[in-house]
Amino acid sequence: MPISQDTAETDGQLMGGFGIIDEKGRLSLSKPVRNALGVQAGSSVAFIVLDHALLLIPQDAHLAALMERGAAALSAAGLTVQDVLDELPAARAEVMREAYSAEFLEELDQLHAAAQRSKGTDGRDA
Amino acid sequence: MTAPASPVRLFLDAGVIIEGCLGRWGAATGVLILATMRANFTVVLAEAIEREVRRAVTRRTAALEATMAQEVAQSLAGWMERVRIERWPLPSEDEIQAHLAFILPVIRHVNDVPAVVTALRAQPDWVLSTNTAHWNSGLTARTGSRVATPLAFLSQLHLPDAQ
Repeated sequence: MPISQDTAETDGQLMGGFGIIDEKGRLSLSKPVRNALGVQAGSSVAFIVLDHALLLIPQDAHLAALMERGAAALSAAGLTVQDVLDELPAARAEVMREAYSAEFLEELDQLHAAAQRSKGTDGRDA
Repeated sequence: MTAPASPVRLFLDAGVIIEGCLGRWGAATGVLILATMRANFTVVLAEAIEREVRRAVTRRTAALEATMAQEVAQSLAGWMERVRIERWPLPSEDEIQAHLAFILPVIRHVNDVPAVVTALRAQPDWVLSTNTAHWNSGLTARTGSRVATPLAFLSQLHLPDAQ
């Protein structure tokens, strides 16, 4: 059984309390806290460790499953997230070509090159 | 975390969305999960970024089995359905022209222009990017928004000046 001395109290908008983590690493939440978060037994939560603090965010189980399946599908295909990230420059270039005229893109290239040259001449970091 | 008077507006770069949705649990995932707190956060989504993300995923998954590609795409779609999104269309050529003198000296790649111009126009509270070469200090100074990596953003959340 999880051990808890959770004494959640409300103070305006703030709710908190103390708890004790049991030998299996479990921490129980009092009913007021569960009610405030809208969670119950079997609810899905996400947690983020922020330095020495823990942020607990109620999640719908469907999103957690979707994100896990997406990452798993990528992995099963022998791909990494970096493989997808590596496509970004080409994807960005395609979006540019689709959205703007060739004349405009050429002008943009020229202006950018001139700005970079000018910056170099000024001795600033390029 | 109580709901602020108005949600904190987060401009997310393509890398954050891809890493957060498809990568192992990390700071980018944390940001995306945090963003599902609709009372607290709004995702400022540039059309340029959304198109880039979809295109990059499609390019990489096009050769996969349809079910696998679909699961990858659904991860992104599922997250987008759960966050409050403020969409910004691609800036027009005129809108880009109006900002060029301001950003060209500090921008690294011409293809970043639409996203940067969108950020300038949207004025989000935060620009979150995994690419600090792209969102560099020169650009940060000009956008007027706070620019941070997902990890840096999450790390400062517990500090009194978080919002």
